[in-house]
Amino acid sequence: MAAYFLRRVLQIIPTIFGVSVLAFLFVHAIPGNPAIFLAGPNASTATIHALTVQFGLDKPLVVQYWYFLVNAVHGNFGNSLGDGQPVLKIIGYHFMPTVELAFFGLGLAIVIGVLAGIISAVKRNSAIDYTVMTLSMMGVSFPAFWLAMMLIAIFAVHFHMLPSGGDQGWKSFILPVISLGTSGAASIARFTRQSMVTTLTSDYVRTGRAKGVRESVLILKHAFKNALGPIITIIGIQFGFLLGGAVVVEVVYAWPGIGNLLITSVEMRNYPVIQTLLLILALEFILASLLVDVAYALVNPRVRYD
Amino acid sequence: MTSPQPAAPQLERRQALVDVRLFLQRRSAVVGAVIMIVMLVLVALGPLIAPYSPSAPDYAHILAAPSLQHLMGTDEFGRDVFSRILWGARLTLAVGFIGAFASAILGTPVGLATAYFGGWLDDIVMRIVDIILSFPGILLAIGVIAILGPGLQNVIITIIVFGVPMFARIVRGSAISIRNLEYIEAAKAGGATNARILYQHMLRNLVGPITVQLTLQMAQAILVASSLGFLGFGAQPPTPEWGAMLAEGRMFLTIAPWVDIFPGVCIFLAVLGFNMVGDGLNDMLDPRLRR
Repeated sequence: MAAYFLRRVLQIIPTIFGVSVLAFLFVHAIPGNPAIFLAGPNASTATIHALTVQFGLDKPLVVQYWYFLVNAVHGNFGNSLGDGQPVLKIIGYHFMPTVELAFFGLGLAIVIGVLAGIISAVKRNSAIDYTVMTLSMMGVSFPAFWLAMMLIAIFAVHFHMLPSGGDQGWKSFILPVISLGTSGAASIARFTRQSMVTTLTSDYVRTGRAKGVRESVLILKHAFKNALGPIITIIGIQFGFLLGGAVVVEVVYAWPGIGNLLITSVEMRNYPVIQTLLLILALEFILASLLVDVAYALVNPRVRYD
Repeated sequence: MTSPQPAAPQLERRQALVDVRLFLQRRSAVVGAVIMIVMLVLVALGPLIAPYSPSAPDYAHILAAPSLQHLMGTDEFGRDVFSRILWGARLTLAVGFIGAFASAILGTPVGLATAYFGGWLDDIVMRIVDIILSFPGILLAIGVIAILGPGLQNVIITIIVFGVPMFARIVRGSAISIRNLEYIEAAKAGGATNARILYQHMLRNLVGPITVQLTLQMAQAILVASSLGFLGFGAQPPTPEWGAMLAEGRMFLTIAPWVDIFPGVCIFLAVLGFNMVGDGLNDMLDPRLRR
């Protein structure tokens, strides 16, 4: 297991390197002088000069990338345009609300998705199965932002039951979490069903049934445990979708997270913040994939010996 | 010059017949196909059936509820929502079509070549694919928009930037599974050129998985395009792109919900239709799922 883990960690190093190059190249892809983007439209010549020196912007690209990397390792991603605060501080301020939202959204998606998928697989080709599968097909097709708006219209505006936005107290979590978790729950349900159908129709489950193993033990221990691999994979993929979906959902609910920060930064052309957010979110996604692979190897020993 | 093969088309026709029957057995796939056809009709004829202009304001009928005169009501400028949706189909759906097709056309050869030739080409290209796909979908799109600026054309570019590596990865996966089959070996032994093997023997056998991916990619592309439109990064108002319509109507959610309900339902149905067809095709191609 340790060897597998080490190999997997070594494998992601080139990817992380590539992602950092892309994030670095981001400000260079915009036509014009990067120092001016990084300093902002109203910056003095002195500020522009200071930035040029700090990030080595007058040097060749390779050297500039090195400066960028050294600065990044020291947690220096430059300053936000406008208020001039360090980028990392601003992102830190917006980070937790998004993590909380993603955590509960993914939690909801996993609980509902896995349960619905198991029930659907056990009762396959029944009315329950068709209902779950129809709902899940609809769930993956909802535009998250539209679902968010409709939930506000119904529960906040019409019934006055829940707040329509902001981050105050547990009640304000309910609608964003549902908007975010729906498509995840739907995908997880579909994959769980598919994976469970495969294991439930396998020989070892039939043998277990023949020798009189209780049905609940059969479903949860024999079938579900072996069906876990693909389910873990889809949960990992959902994490990436969740980070993306969170952006639009945060905008609809005026949630003070990094999704909203990203959108305002793009609107204000606040390039230092955009650059850092792209880098951090990609790293987060890579890390999540690593965790998923490790979890997969834990439940499925065959993977480790490939 | 490649010589024509008279036997191949006949065989294909017989296979296609079986496929259609299997497809029709799936109720959800048929429903999806019907939705897809309706959407295509909207794209083709939308502006012709639209009863009103999509842009002319009518200040006497602002935010009017749905009625026989205005099937889906009117918006804050008195514009007919139904007519705007009919015009908008061309924008939202066309962006999805163009984005997904371009991704397929550019990504498929990459996937085929990497799978077939392997080696350093495969290593380098797939590493680049991994890097691009390390950015969660819509974030990559927003990053590209931050560079290029908002606009419908740039939305198509962002869809392609994400779609090409996606196609390359999936086509490569399918191609690897057939690359070492005996008939490919036989073709090589028979002296077929690489180009001929790639096209005649590999690409033509991967039409199924590519079609599935194309359909699912269209669903994704429509979602991304409308999300970007909603965020204000796609088509700009007063363009009746469905996502942009939702952004405009957001302020009137409490007093005139129809301005927000109908464009959303249309996006939902379009995505649902493509997902259902893609799913049906996928099941059809995967014999393990036929139980």
